[in-house]
Order: sequence, then structure tokens, then C-alpha cells
Amino acid sequence: MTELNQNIDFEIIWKKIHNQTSEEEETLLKQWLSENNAHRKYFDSALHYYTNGSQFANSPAELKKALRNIHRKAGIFSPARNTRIIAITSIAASILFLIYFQFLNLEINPENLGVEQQVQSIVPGSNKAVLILADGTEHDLTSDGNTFTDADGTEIKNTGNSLEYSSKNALSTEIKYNTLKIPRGGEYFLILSDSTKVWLNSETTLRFPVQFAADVRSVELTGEAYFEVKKNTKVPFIVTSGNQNIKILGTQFNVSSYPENQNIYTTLVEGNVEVSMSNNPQINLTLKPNEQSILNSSNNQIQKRIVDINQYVAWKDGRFVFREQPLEEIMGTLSKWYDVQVVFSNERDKKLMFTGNLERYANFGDILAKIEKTNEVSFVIENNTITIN
Amino acid sequence: MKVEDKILVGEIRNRNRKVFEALFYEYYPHLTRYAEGFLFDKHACEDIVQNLFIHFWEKTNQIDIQLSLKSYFYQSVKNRCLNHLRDINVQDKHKILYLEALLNEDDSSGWVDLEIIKKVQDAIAQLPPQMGELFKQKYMFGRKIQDIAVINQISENTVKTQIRRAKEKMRKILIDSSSLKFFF
Repeated sequence: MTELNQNIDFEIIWKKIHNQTSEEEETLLKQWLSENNAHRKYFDSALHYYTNGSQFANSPAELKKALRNIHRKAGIFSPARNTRIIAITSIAASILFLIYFQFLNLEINPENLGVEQQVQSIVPGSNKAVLILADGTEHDLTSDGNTFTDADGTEIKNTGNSLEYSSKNALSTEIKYNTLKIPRGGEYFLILSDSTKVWLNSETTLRFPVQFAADVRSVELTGEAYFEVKKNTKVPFIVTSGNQNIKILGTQFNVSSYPENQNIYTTLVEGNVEVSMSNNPQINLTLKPNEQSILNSSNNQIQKRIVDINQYVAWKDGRFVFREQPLEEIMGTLSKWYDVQVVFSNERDKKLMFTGNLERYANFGDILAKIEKTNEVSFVIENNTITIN
Repeated sequence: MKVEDKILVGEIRNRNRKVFEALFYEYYPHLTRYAEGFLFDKHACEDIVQNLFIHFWEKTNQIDIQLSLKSYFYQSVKNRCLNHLRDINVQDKHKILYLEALLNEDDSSGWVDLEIIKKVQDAIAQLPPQMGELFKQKYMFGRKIQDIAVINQISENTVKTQIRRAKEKMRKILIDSSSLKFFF
């Protein structure tokens, strides 16, 4: 038995390669190198790498060879001749599609529709909004289309389901704010003066300048909205919700910041955004498409994860997509849209997981019937209150 | 675990070779370069990543995937590399190798570790502004060289040169004794 080899810290190897070693480090390195051939070999490889860069070109031929190697060692017989490379996402997507297809195809048996009669008065949400101008005047936008002119001459066009700002003047020096409030059971579409598009979900408030400042485009959000930000690399777009700032140069993303949830969810569809805490800008992270950040306001932490964006942005395209979500969350979402109260008669039911893809403009009874169809829960409806048993 | 990943793992359990191959093509090229940042030896890296795929195929039932398939693959490669380093008596106290692995992997797919991201951000702040910006666009935002060139209105070659210099400087900054404190 030889004596045990000494460990070396890679820092010393790095310094040697970059000619920065001290005498003492030289001695340690020499000792380590002399101990065995594997040590010498590692040092030479590191030197080669830092001089010449990566040895991996990952050419198709190389990859094929590697895959053959794996097949051979794992005892997987060589694949069919016409095997093509399939993007894994599309495989997952097609399998998911099958699952949802089955879910959607659940036949609704009229005899099972215990809740049907009672819910006729409960209608899905629709285009509802109240606009508060800079001078404090409130305008109900639900009715017919009309056009306002704000004090600075900015034209605001209301079509009954959307609101469009177009500024004719050059940038004004004073920034005036308007606020758009969407009640429960409402949604609205807004085009800001820089042509940014915003889809606003139920129970949501957005405060925005009638005309943006020259150096920054900044809006404040409570609730949920989907943004398609007009690209302008010189003037960043910032969305503030609670303790979170999102900085954007031009991109599409969804923000869900309902005050009753302690988390703010930011889901990126396209481009990139930087999420930070307004009270501690040092804590920030960058999202790439399909990533979602979660800011937890109780412990002041931001984390990110990869998600299926469809689940988070489907509302904008008229669908509810739930994937293994607890019933409590699902009912929370539905209650905002159908403007109903939900009562759980036992805690267990809150945690039941459901998956489904539903029409957002569907009759509430159809949706409840689909959930009842699983035989996990039943609903009792009295006026605007749904009790879950 | 994500629903997609559950489905994919389920397909591997059902011995679906096409899914296995799709996963191979998706991850293998990144994982070998990630391993290279730890080991620098092409054959050792190929062995480690290929053995991981074999293990993944043969022991699918025993594999416990906590977060996502991606983090499972990256974490497994990292662990296997660190074991290899332990065997040849190399330590990585200052996470120089870990950073090298992330830089070499080139797609920033492995950049899920917020702790290292924070450290890299601190180092970026010490680069010349334009260089830092380009480095950020490449490694933090995961943009393609081509796109970075268009956005910043400079040539692709300039972007490449700047990023190569930024990498060099990053390594120096991170190795510099004053900033090594970040790594304890």
C-alpha cells in the first residue's frame, strides 16, 4: 500500500495554467502531479482545454455513434431505419392532447345534470370595465362604443370590449394616469399609447400613463393580465405589482398577482424579461420563454421553474386549462369569472386534483357537470353560492 | 414533476425507444459539454454521459425525479463528474469548475442554480459595460449570437470576439482573490 494521495484544489491548477502560482502552490502541484498518472493526465487535459477550447463538435455523425454505443450497451436493438428525430415537446404535446381529448369528450348525460336547472342565472363573464380618468371622473365602458378625449388631447376609443389610446401630440411633460378596473365576471382588452396590447382578466386593476414618459414605460397591475409589449429597446417597459417589478424590452407574458394569493406568478411566452423585487432590486432573475417566476411575498423570495405556458395564458384565448390543479384553485378561478361564492364543506375536497380544458364562455352548469362526472364531488347551488360536498 | 416529464418517463418505462432517442438528441450534446467543463477529457465525458443514459433506460423504475428531467440529467452529470474528480484527488472549493461547466455548455440550459447566477451577475458587473451586456444577453437571456448582433447592431464576429473576451475576463475576475470570497 502506498500512502494516501493528497487532494489538490483546482484553483492551483487554474493558476498554473495562467502563470499565477506562488512558490508554495508550485510545490503542492509538483507533489500532486508526481503522485500518479491520472493526475498528470488531468492537468494536461485542462491545459489543452484552456488553450484550444472544447473538443466537442457534436456533429450528427458523432451523435449517431454515441447513440449506437448506448444502444449496444443497454441492449436496445438498433432502431427502425426511418427513425427521425422527434422533438420531445411534440411527443409530450400529442400525448397530452389525447388525454384532453378524452376529457373533453366526456358525454354529458342529462340525468346527471343535477345542478343544471339551478345555474341558469349564472352567466360567464363578459366585457365589463370602468375607466377612471386623470381628473377622477369614472366612465362605465360596458355600454356602447364611444370616444373620449383626455385633457391633453389623447384620444381614447372605446368599442365596448376594447379601449385604444392614440396620442396625436408630441410627448407631454406632465404624465397623467388613467386607471382601468375590471370587476368580477369581467374582462377587457386595452391598447396603450405605445401600441402595447393588454388583455385584462376579472377582478383586475391597471394604472397606466395616458402618454408614456420618454425614458420609461411604466404601469401598475393588481390581478391578472397578459401583455404583448411593443418592442422598443431604448425605452424599457416596467410592470409593477405588489413588491415585484418586471422589466421588458419587447415580449409577451402573463402576470397573475391577485392579492389573496401570496405568490405573484410571471409566465414568459416570448422574448425575455427581468423580474426583481421593488424593495430589493438586488434580488432579480431573468426569464426565458416557458419559464415562470414565483415571487413569494411572505418570505420575500423569487424562484423560477419551467411550465406549460398554455395553462397560464389560455384564459386570454377563451379557455380554462387546468393541469393537476387542486379543486380549491380551480374554483377560485371559476368564481372570479362567473362571479359566484364558493364554500367547501370539507378540507379534503380542496386538495382533489383535476385536469381539464374548458370553454371560458360555457354555461356554468356544463362546467360543474363535467367536474361532477368524476364522481369525486357534488355541487349544491343556492343563489350565487356554490357548496361543494 | 412537470406533466410532460411524467409522460416522458412513463414512455421510457414502457420501453418507448423513440422517446428515448428524442431525449438523447435533446440533452446529450449539452450534457457532454457540461461534463467537459469539469473533466476536460473527451472520452471521460462521453463515458459519463453515455452511462447516465444507459442507467436512465435500465433503471427507469428506480429513478426518483424530483424537479424535472432536465435538472435530473444535469445534476446526475455533475455528481458523476464530482465523483470522478474525487477519485483523482481534485477538489473544486471555489466552484471554478462548476462555472466552467456552465460557460462551456453554451446553451445556458444548466443555469437553473440561482446561487451561481447571483455570483455570475456580481462578476458581470465588473466587466466593461458593453462586454457585460453581450455576455448577459448570451448567457442570462440565452439569446443566439445572430440575434444579439441584430439587436445591438454589430457584426456577429464582433459579438463572438466580445463574448470570448468576456469569458476570459469572467474567469479572471472569479479567480481573483478578492472576488473568490463570493465562492465560499
